[in-house]
Amino acid sequence: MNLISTLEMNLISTLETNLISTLDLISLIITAIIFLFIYKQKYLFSCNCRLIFIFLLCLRIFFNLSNFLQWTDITDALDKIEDYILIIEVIFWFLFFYSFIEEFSKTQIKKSENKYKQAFNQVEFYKDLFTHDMNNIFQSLLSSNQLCSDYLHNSDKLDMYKEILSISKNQIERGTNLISNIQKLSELGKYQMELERIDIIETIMKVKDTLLEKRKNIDIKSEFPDDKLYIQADILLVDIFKNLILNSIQHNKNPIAEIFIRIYKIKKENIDCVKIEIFDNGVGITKFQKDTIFKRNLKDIKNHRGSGLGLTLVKEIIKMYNGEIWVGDKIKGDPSKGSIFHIILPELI
Amino acid sequence: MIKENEIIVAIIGIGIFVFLVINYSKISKIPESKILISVFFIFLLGWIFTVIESLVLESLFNLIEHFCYIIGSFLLLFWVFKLKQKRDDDNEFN
Repeated sequence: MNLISTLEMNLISTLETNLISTLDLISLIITAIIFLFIYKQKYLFSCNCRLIFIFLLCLRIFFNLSNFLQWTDITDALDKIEDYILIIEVIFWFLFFYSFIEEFSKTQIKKSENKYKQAFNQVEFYKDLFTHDMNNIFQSLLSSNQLCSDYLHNSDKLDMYKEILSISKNQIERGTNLISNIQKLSELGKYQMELERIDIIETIMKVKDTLLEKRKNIDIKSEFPDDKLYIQADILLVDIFKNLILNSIQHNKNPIAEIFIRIYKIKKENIDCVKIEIFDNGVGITKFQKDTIFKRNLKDIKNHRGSGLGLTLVKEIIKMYNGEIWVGDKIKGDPSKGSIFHIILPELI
Repeated sequence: MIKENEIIVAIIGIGIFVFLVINYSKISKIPESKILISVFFIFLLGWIFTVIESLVLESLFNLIEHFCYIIGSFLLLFWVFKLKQKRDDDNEFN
């Protein structure tokens, strides 16, 4: 009886030993696979984290190997250092988590730095813009006021009043537009605007009617398809066309600013799009200006180029609608004959 | 017989787990952090069972300890795989 009992005990012990050694072997193989994988993947973690993780895996491999060999009775020496390895492994687990936290903190600091730098640059940009453009506007208003005072007692020059008042009105409009554009541009990046289905032809017609009502010196002709054309946009869509048309009027030396708007469907990279072309008979845009016209920055202000933020705002709004804008010559190679603004926006079917 | 080293490992392990709980807001920024924390927790259980096996039910707790190591290893492999998948998706998006 005792012999059978001893044999049973031995059998159970052998089975247990085999089971545990198999478990250790599987753990060893899995850890080795992870080690090889991490060793090959150089960009999965940052440099420090990867180094610590590789060392951690080495310790785990050694620990599993030691456990496995312990059951096969190959060596006792490994068993003695196994416990010390485990202590080092636990410490490396701590270092692994700590390096992640440190990396996260560094990234957060860098992000905050960039955010503040961007905010500072933006404030500087608006400050310089205000200093330069508003100063120009007030100078014009001051000159107009001076002329009015001079002509007040001169009955022959009374006719000039109409012209001076017109200049003053234009300058006040320019100032109002500048403030409005700065407000819109500063808010563009702040909030995620909700885009809705808008008929682009209807919007352009509204802008056209409003401008024709207010101004006598423009002639706007248009060519649209019969069907309605929908795009994903918001209330700022009006500002695109208002700014482009006003830009054409402002930079025009002809008695009547002639503007022609054409809208048609196109396919761009197999995506249905709407193309809008705005032709004008203005002073035109030189090759250098074509590259910088949509990106007004600090340097432009200091170099006294550009007026207002209209085209910068247009570019930002179109970017938000996943569209694109560029400018060309009305007559190719001759910028002095006027310009064409090309806009492509994805169509919403 | 209880080994001193095993107790030290268990105490340090518990200490690190407390550290993870305190800094959870930062640790949670690690991609697939829940899997990684689970890996550590399972290894910690293994270390605690090593101490317990010296006191009671040696065979049973020894078996559980080794099961903890194998589950931990599988989860660690899964975490690395998920990390790689996430990185690939991010690269594709960018």
